[in-house]
Amino acid sequence: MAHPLPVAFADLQSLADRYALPTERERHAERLKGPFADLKALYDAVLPRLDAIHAHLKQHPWPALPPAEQTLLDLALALMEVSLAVESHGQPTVPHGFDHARFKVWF
Amino acid sequence: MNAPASDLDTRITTDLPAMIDGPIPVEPYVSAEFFERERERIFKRAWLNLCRAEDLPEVGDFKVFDIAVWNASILLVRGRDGVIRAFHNVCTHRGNQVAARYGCAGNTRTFVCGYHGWTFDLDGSLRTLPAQEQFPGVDKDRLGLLPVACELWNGFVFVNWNAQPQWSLVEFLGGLGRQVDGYPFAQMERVARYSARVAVNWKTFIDAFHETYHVGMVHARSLPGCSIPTELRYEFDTLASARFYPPHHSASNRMVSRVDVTPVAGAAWQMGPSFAANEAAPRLPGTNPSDDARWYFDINVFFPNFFVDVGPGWYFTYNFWPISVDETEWTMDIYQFAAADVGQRIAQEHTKVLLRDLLYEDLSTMESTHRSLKSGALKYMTVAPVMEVAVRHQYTNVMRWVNGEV
Repeated sequence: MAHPLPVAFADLQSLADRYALPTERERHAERLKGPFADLKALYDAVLPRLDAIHAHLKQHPWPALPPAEQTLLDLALALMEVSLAVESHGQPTVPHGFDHARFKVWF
Repeated sequence: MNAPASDLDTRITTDLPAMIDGPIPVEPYVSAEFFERERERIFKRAWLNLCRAEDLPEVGDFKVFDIAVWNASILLVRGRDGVIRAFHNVCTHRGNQVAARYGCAGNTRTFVCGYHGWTFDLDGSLRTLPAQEQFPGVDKDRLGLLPVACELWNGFVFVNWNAQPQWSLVEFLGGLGRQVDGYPFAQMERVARYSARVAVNWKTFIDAFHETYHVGMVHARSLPGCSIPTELRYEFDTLASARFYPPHHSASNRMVSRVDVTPVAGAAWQMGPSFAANEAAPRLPGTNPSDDARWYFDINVFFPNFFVDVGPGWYFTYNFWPISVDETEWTMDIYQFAAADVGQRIAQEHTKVLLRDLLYEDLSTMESTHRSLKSGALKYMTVAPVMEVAVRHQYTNVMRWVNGEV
């Protein structure tokens, strides 16, 4: 379970619980699991709120965000993570791409 | 702002060196015997990048690099004087790996060999020789760790197999080093690293990264709009300019004028520097050396196996380490300015994700290409004179070095 999101974004909590992970490696691994419909649901729910998320986060000192705001940022980063899958690939993995099990994401 | 077709020609803004012309023979890309000559004539003579100085920030920080193409293990360590030195990871007593008990990285005050306890200082000198009285006539001062030449350029740590290299590092990097000097490497931080071991010859692997002809096909999905052949020609695929500093070379990508920006790419673009092409991005020193009007980023290829691709607010490196004629270890590091605000942080993530997915695509053709070349069916490769000139230049330099012309 992720840290509770700021109140204005509480409706995104179930997505945050799954996708607001603290590292690129974890967010990428979760994306690769799919299924595509889940990535699309994340995309459809978070993209329309991205401007509001950005506006909210900008009100806090950077880079030491409070825990709720850090979770919200991680959710925005998860949107970046799934964006290529939704916008370009139409599937969780890169079509015809190199074997992701042999591609190491370090951080 | 579509440019006329004449603007799409590649300008070569240095002398064009003589290159081996005609179709490129496949044999050097698959021959185990040729690979042994590359090992001796190229990799044991050229300066090779291992890491950045920031990877060893403190006195006593060390890293061990198993360099398969040298058949050697190399120990990199920052001494009490702050200097980074390289040594063979070999005890001068009877050859055990002196850092074997220390892991592949860490911090230490000395290296104690796990075999008989010979103890070396951070500068390589032999500090303690247990039961020294049993070694009559042995001069401890002559039994320090075996040094490997190690020099820095813009914070990049290079090593050379020869204790007295043929060239200093600066001489070796030559005009390409001078072209890139001034880029704010030290102000950026590593934000991502990706790696893979790929069953492909190192030259075939490298050739996928210094031509842009492949973009329209390999990246057709991830760079939508960049990659659609226009009615005129492959716009993205035409390099804006190229420069030759044998054995190195550099090329500048032209920004496409007809990018179909996806919603998330567009949002990231608004929030901070991103890999998404952006004409408003700042121009940094050490970039756009040929002053191309629609400059995107530079591909800088340091012979034989190191890329430093510099962009407006990000750069990334590739290291291609041959394991054998048939296998290569590849690492990509992405560096960016520290995010000044949360919006930049979000934009940076988009850059990473986009580049990473592009790399899945870039790596996708490597193993099948190598298998095909190994079959012997194809004897020669046909290479475009301008779009793929880097492939020919790399091949020419490999042949010159292997044949003893350098």
